[in-house]
Amino acid sequence: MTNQTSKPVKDFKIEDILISNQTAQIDPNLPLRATLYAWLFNPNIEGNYQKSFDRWIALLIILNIFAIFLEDIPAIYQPYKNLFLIFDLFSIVIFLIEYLLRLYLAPEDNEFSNKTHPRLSFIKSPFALIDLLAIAPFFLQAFIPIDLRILRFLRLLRIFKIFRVLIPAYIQFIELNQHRSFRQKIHALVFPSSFGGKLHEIFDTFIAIWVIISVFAVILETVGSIHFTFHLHFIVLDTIAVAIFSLEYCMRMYSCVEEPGFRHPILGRIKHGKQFSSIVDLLSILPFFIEVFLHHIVDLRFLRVFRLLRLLKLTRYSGATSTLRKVIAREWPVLCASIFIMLLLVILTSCLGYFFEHEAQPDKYENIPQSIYWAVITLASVGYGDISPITPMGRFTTMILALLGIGIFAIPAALLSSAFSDQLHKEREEMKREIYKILQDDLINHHEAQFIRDEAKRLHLTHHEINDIIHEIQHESQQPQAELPIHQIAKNTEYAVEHYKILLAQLRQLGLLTNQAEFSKLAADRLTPSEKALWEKINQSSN
Amino acid sequence: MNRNSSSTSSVSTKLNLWNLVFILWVILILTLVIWTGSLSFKNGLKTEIVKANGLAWIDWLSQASQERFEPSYKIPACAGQPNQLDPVEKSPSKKELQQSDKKNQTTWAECFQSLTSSDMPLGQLRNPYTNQPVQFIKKCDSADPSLAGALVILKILPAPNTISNQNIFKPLLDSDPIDLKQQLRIFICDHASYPILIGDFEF
Repeated sequence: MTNQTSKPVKDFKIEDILISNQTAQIDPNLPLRATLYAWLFNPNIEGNYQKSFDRWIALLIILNIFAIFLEDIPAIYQPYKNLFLIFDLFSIVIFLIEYLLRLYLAPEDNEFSNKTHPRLSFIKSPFALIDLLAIAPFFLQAFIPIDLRILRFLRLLRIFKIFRVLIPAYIQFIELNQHRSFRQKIHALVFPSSFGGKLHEIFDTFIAIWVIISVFAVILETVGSIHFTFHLHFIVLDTIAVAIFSLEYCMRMYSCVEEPGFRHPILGRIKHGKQFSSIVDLLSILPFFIEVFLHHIVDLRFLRVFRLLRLLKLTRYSGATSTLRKVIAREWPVLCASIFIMLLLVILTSCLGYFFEHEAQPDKYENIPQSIYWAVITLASVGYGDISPITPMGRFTTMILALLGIGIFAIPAALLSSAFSDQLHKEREEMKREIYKILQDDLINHHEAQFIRDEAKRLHLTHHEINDIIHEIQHESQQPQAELPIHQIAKNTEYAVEHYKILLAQLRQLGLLTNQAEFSKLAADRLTPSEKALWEKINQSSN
Repeated sequence: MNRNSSSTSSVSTKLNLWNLVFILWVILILTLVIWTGSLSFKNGLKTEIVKANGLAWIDWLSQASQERFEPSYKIPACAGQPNQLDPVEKSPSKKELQQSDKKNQTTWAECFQSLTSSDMPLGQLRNPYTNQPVQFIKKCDSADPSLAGALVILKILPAPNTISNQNIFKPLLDSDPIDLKQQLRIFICDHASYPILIGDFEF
């Protein structure tokens, strides 16, 4: 069983830090039932299969919900009827195995082990009833003829299985947010914080799933035959997605004042509303309303594709996009300069192209804007060939332009690439400093290990790289104090006193070895009276 | 992780006025979304009716495409010339068209009028946006909301030799003769007067 408290650094293996799913330490001599329970259902053992098992069951429930809704669409259900039946059978088998396993292992569960009849208590428990409801209709239809619509309704009860995941997460959330205000609870749910717990993760996953579904729907809507058949279904899907995103947006705007930097009730919210992620959130819901109320003013085809912006909502969950944003913001002046050079080159060469080619090909090089098109296509090395020079000077200009294009267009790409790598390097240095702080007390707890794990994942650090960083820090901390940078010495009072002693000894040594007469002569001009007094005091004490 | 982002001390866990305002605001927003969604759904239902109208026209005209060249065809206004040339095999040239007997030539306007008379099945079809009989227009135009629910019939003409593998689409006009077999395409105009392709057929 994994210890959740602090461990000395020397006892912490790098694998313990980096791999959250380390192998659970379960006594191999346990009886079969206890072993099975420990591996599959015990939530208190780190590294067992409980989380994976729950995750797969949750995924199967979500797939079942989708399948039930898709079965209501004849255009989808009829051609793939057999696949739906196979999937249903597969789900029932898995749910049945899960139910029987839970029933068999009920005496090992703390919730039922102290009861007279643990298995009977399990059967009567709300979760077990939900599990039974999920599988019972399948067996019922084998014995009793049930109307297909009632059967489908009964199968919808499988949705309740999701409560097996939701309820524990909700209980954890309530415990974490005891004595906190309503707004703080909303904040904990929608913003990353240590109060969010599992429920915040579920919320994020839920939003991400809906982003993917709605973007997928927008893409499919552009296929004429699919849109023709499922037009109404797409409307319902979009309404649900917008309702969810609107709710999320309201919750974020309401609770953002709990975030540092956004405390002011009005200005804080305005500031938050102006953030990139908030603008994306707003843009993901606006087209829905514009489509209905302003469709005579705005082009609907554009608005429909505009809904694809919802994909940007996912950037909130990725560290890479925030790094890229930082890089662009940092390198903006240099990027602007390179864009300016590019524009200059485009304008100049298009003027030359117009000058050389207009007389020979007045239809193609009709004016400078058309020549700009030719210049950009040539500079970017695309070369469609629809406009090409025929005069010797025009061809010569094109050759120069094409050669310059290779270099000029590469500048912004190279800039971004080097700045990106530089930013990553900076963030790794930052992480190194954080790890240094963590390791200062020679102890590492579960949260700190989790932090290192998250940062390693965010910065795409391999097992080997993170190991190197930790070893480097450990090596630095074992260095003699004199070799340490002054700010690190200053942090440790013991080191500071020792360092002071070393410096005094060095001054005394200097006083003994140097030529005192010449030193005093030069010092009269260069040292302040207090510095001179201190020097004399140190030398007197050494004599 | 930002544990310090919100303090835990001295806060009321009970709902205050601003919390209630927020809850009401959320309810209002969700109601607005559902209402907007229901408007969109109602428009969608109307578009489905218009689609069904378009499909009914395609069904009827495709079915009639064989029968109307028989001498005993019931609707003379839509009848074709029995010895017509199949446009798929060979397009009628200008000369051939001029040679055809102008007195016997039937036009789309006459055929349309007889098809949409109240005793004909297609005459029962209504435009759900206006609750008027279905109207045919030259093209859907998103700038004109009154065109919602209208139908567009285009003639599919073989392209000139210079453009390979492409057809030319022209609106079927009232004055167009229909005594020869022809390829047609039907569009409907949706609630915002954008075209939705229903299908191609031979008439």
